[in-house]
Amino acid sequence: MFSNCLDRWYNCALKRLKIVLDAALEKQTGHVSASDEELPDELAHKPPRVLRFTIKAHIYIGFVFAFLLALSIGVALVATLILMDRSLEVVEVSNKYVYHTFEARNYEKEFLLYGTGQKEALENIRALKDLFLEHYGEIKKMVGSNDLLSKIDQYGRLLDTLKDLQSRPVTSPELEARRKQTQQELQIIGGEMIVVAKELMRKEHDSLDKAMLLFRVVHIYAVVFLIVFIVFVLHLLGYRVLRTLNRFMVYMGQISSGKQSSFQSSSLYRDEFSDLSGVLDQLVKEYDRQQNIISQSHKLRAVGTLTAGVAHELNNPINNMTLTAHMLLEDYSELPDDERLDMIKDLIDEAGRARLIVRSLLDFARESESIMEPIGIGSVLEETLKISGSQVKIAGVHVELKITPNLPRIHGDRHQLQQVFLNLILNALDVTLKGGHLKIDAGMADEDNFVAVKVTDYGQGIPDHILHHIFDPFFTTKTKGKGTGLGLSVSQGIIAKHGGHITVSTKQKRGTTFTVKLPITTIPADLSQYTGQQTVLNNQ
Amino acid sequence: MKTCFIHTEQIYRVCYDIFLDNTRVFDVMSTMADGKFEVLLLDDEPIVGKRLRPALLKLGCEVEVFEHPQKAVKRINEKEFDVVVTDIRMDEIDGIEVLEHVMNKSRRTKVIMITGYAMMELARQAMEKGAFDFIAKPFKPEDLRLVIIRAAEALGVKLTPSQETN
Repeated sequence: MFSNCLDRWYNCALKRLKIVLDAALEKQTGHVSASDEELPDELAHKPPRVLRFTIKAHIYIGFVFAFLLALSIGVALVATLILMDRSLEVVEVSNKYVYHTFEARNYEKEFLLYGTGQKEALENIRALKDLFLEHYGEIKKMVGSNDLLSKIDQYGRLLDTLKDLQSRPVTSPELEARRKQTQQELQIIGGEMIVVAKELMRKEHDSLDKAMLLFRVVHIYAVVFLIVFIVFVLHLLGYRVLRTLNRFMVYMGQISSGKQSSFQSSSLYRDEFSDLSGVLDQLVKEYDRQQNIISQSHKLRAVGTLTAGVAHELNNPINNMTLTAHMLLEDYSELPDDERLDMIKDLIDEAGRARLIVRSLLDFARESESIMEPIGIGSVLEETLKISGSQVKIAGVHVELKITPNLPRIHGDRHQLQQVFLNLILNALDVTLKGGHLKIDAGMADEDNFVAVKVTDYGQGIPDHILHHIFDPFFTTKTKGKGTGLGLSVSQGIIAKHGGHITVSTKQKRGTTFTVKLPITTIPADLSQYTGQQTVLNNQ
Repeated sequence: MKTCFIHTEQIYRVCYDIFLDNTRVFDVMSTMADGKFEVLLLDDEPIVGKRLRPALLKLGCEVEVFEHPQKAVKRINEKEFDVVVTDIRMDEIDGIEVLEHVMNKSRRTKVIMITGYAMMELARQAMEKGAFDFIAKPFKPEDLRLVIIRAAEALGVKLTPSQETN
């Protein structure tokens, strides 16, 4: 029964809360639509029809409810207390009543047997009468009969009559008979009064029991319901706040680990957290934009470094074309047809070569959308070496490229990764003396599900006091105008975005190894290596 | 004091002219002994050799073309050329080394360096080490011919450019 009742209470409370929440929501919706008009672009990226239910409102509603609940519980407790008080009072009255009745009857007995005590009996009766008159309402409610007072009066009168009769010294049979009759009446009425008193007693007991029960029940319900309600509100609020905070933590973790993600705001309603997530999203976007600008400006800087090499590299095909064209012009009439054709073919080939050189640089320099796709790290390294080829040649450095066959692919942006490796290679070239060599080694990392690319130079190494600054933006050891100090910082940003990391190990006078670790991807599977193997087999 | 200084300078100049005259006489004599004007052309781009050979043949020189510096150096050890034309930037041995080699072998050989655009520093270095002149890529065949004619003049040989050139 108790649990049934509790269930009903809970359901009722839920219903009430829902109604209030709905009302609050409706009130808030109007407010939101107003602010929508004020800030159209800020909310443009949010789902337009989501209701706004702030945590502030949530807390307020919770508190108002708790307050109302506490108030009603207090009222209920006071009411039951008053009830108890009253029934206790009535108990006292009825106790007095019973006491006086029994006393009166005792004295009556004494009076009948010994002739004394009539006065005390009368006093009791009077007190009884006073009590009755004083607490008429309560006693009447209890007993329900109207003739109690008349019985008391009658009892008093009979007592008086009896006294009167006994005080007469002469005894006559008539008087004796009357005395006996009076005695009998007195006993009957006395008995009736006792019955009434007993009934009063019983009813009083019952009502006291009832009041006690009510008091206990109200107490228990109040405490239980208060606890349930507090748990309910705390659960709603806590769940809402903590869950969102948890999601924020996950989100922040994703951002700091470099993964691009957007905060999935709670779909039920908008609140302070959705505002916060909006601001955070904007912050992340802005950060991303600035990172892109820095990355791009550094890329252009790298292009500047490369340009000298590329210009030099371009000189060869242009020189070849110039020579060929001039000789063709000079000797046109004397040359046999096939020689002329050969020269023209040379011209076309060299023009193509020049175009390729320019295009690889432009491809690299172009400000491109970030396209994340599964790519082989080997091809990225080869392309990077192609771009930096002229620089490598000018530096007179021998580059040893070792790629472990059948490496799993990684998920990344080709151009950005090229930028990273180009930075590392150009840095390595800077510290390598002419005729020296540097090593690029791509293989599986010792960490699971990562590939590692190691770019090793055999230069002077990095001094300790510089080592922990090398990834700082704008930190450079190169002479002014030669380095922006952004290369490693940008590279680190790019690699972090790919979910990987760059580490450096260096030995004084021995050289430095930069290790880039990138997580591998298995989806979608790369089938080209198998078909590639097949063609090799076919060729054999 | 000032006049004295000028005087000294003039003396130096005269001495220098006499020195130049002597080398010129010397050069002419040795060229005459061979009877031919011999040019070695070294560039790792095959087309350069292929196209320049006929252009230089028109000057009446004998031309030997090499793509690999190793082979060219070997040939230089075997034979004394009047003019060596070499690219500066090559993979195995660079032009400066070839120049040094030639200078060690024979002082009278005129070395003409072919340089890229962004290598003025290298060119200056080459001149310091005794190169006759340098010519920047991209160049016309006529440009090289003119430099070779000047080199020949320095050796006291008169080369006549072909009349057919425009």
